[in-house]
Amino acid sequence: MRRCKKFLWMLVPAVVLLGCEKKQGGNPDPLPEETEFATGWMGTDDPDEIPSNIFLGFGNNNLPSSHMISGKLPPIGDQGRYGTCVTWAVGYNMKTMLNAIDRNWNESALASPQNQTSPKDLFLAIPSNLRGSNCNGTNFEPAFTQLVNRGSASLGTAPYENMGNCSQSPDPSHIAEAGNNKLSNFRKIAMGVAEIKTYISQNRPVVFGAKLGDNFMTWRGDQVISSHSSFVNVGQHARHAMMITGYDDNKGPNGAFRVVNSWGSVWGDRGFIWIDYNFMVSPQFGMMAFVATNGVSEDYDPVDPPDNNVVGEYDLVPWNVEDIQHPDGGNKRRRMFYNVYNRGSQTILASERWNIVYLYYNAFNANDFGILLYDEYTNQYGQLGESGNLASGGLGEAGNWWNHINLPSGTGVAEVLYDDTRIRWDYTMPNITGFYYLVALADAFDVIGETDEANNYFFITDSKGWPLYINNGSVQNIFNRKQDPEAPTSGRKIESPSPKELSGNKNAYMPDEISSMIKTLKQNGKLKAAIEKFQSDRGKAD
Amino acid sequence: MVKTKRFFAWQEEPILIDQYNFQEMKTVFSLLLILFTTHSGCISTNKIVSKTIKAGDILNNIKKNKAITYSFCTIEGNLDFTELQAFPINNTMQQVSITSPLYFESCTFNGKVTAFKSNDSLNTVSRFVNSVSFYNCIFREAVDLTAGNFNQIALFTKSIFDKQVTLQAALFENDLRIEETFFSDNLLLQEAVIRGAFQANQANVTGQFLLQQADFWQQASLASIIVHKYADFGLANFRRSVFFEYGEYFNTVNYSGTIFSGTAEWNKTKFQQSVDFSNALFYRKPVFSNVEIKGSLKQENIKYLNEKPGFDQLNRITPVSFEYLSVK
Repeated sequence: MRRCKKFLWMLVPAVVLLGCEKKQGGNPDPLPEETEFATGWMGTDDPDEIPSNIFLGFGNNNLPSSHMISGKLPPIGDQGRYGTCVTWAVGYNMKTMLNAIDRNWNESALASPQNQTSPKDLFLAIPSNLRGSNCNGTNFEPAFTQLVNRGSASLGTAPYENMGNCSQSPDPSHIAEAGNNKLSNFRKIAMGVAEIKTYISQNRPVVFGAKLGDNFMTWRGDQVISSHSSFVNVGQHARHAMMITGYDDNKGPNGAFRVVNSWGSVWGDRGFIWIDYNFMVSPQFGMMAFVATNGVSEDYDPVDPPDNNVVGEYDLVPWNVEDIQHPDGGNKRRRMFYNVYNRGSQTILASERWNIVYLYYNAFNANDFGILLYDEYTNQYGQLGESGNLASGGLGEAGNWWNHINLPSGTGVAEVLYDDTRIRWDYTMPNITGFYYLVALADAFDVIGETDEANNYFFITDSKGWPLYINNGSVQNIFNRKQDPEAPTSGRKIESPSPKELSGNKNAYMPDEISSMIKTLKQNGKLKAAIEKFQSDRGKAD
Repeated sequence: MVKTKRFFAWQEEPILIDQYNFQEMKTVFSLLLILFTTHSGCISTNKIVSKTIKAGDILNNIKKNKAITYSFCTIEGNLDFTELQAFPINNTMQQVSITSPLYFESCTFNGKVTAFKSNDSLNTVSRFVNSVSFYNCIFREAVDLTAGNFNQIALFTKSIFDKQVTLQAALFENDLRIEETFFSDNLLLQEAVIRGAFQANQANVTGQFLLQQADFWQQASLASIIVHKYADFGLANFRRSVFFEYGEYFNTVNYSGTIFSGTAEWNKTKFQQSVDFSNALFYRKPVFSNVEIKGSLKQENIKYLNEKPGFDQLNRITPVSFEYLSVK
């Protein structure tokens, strides 16, 4: 007990400091009597279950030394004594700011409750088993998921009052309005200074969860907080959600992030706080961070051309892609079929040197991907009409072919090559375990200027649109669509499956994200390296 | 030999170092120096030991509650006090208690010196029951004494730190002395509580010198200190006098929100860049004499309370007198 007492005594320097300040009249602006602020992030989000953002700007050394997007914030919010910080950060601050940026709202518009996302409606929309009793906290994932699937009503419609014990359901009459106020998706990002700064510089607010110390609770003024050590008042598990709205390289010793809180305007620097770069990303403070894309996901359908009657010059569409277990058996041996049509009005020449890649990627980790099949359509090898193996050695089992063909308008590659409806390749699934999507991607290097780039993707999921669970190379619950005997010619409305199109995980990677990923992988050489490794492995196998 | 106590000039309380008086010790010391130079040895309390000491051996002696006294030694390996037996405080905290007095003079530590360990679920902190002295020592690697509890004097005088020194949230119940000490990297003292005197005269900090929210209960002396990077005294609390005379700061200095309860003097202090005194609170009229500021001076909302304010003057706010302060 003596040790305990002494240890506690050692841990309370900040408390001692504050207490003595009061005795000496040291604090020029003492806090009001009510200094205990509620937090409310449970801190139990599973990062492995949330897709990571495909970060394109890393290493950008040309960022401005400071950037603020605080001007698109609603007035400083106050969560009061309720553990609703997550929905204040994700809903009231982030969603409102994204709307304000998209719609160019001014201060007057932002002051209107009708334009502010209601933290109450969002909190109550979260399933009760995913939030604490008596309004006592939740996690980021369920809050974001509600904003993607359901949306949230405005503060004007669902004021932050009469919270009770938060056991009530959200008002059903709010659903219609909520449906018009959704996010498209949310992504976790790395807690890195350069990464966060890049998002802010792109006017993308970052919400984050942090572990708070005693000094945070009583912070005043525009000082840059750079450490914490005492947790006597807040306890060891004070997890809190806030949002980053700016940064300044010249603030404090190392530069600092501007953060908006939901503790009213009396706390901190009129509701904000500066947090030291290094402190923000240290494990002692910042724990995880997220960005989100605004919009209503149902309105966004990249696989459908904007107008099916528009006839462009070039448009590649993977078609009738199917992946089945190999008829000869074996858990990992598989057979894949594909075709790629040219919906455009002009012939795509072999000299364009395009390709098709069939790859797997982790549904929650963009860095986890691999090449399963790779074919080039090119004039680099052979004569027109010829085909061959890209790898040295004999015939490969898993694609990796060159095809020296031109692809006329309204024609598929299988038709040109084999006068068939599909090309067949056999392959062996690697020993991967986890949730993965399989996707066929035409023109992976984006060399052809197409009418619709978004329909270059063909996703294979389970029947509900969720990623496939692959257990040590054994694919579970794969869902192959019925073949469409009709070619996806110009003018015909096509519906290539994508994760979001099927009911299920609306937060799965969007095709445009996969495209961004592929482009990034191409730019940094990782795709080429992966293809070369694939080819090398195939060569050895042959 | 005559048993006596050795008094150092910087010590208020005598520390029993050896069984020699000071003059005799000087002589013997010189002789021993020659002896050990030729024999490649170093001095310990009771015997001549090899020049190189394993950090693990020091920890083993601490386990046996032996006094640790080494001079002219090289310590190899990480001196990690958290490897000692720790006692749980609660589910997330445990503490190591070092009862041995530690005295190192002219020693070189080639490994890290650590008294704090943190992971997701458990923090380990250290308590030093007796005095901790590193006089004229060299630290090749980082020193992390975060949240350390120093019951007696903590002394690093004339030492050299090659890497970052972390004393965040440490509680010094007696003096903390870093005079004439050279910090090649950052010196982090945020939220530290120093109940004794703070002596940092002629210290040289090449990195950042961060004292945000540090609490100085007794006199703090930073005379002739040199700080090359950002110096942050923001929200620090100087309960007694503090002296910054002859100091030179090559980067931004932040006194924003700092509380000066006693005498605060800046005589011939040089600020090569900007200084921020905004929201600082002075209980007494500060002394600025021949101060140079080459950058901007920020002084919004400085609050100055008269030296002996009456009740009606307690909250009276008047501008601080900067009559001798020159901004170049």
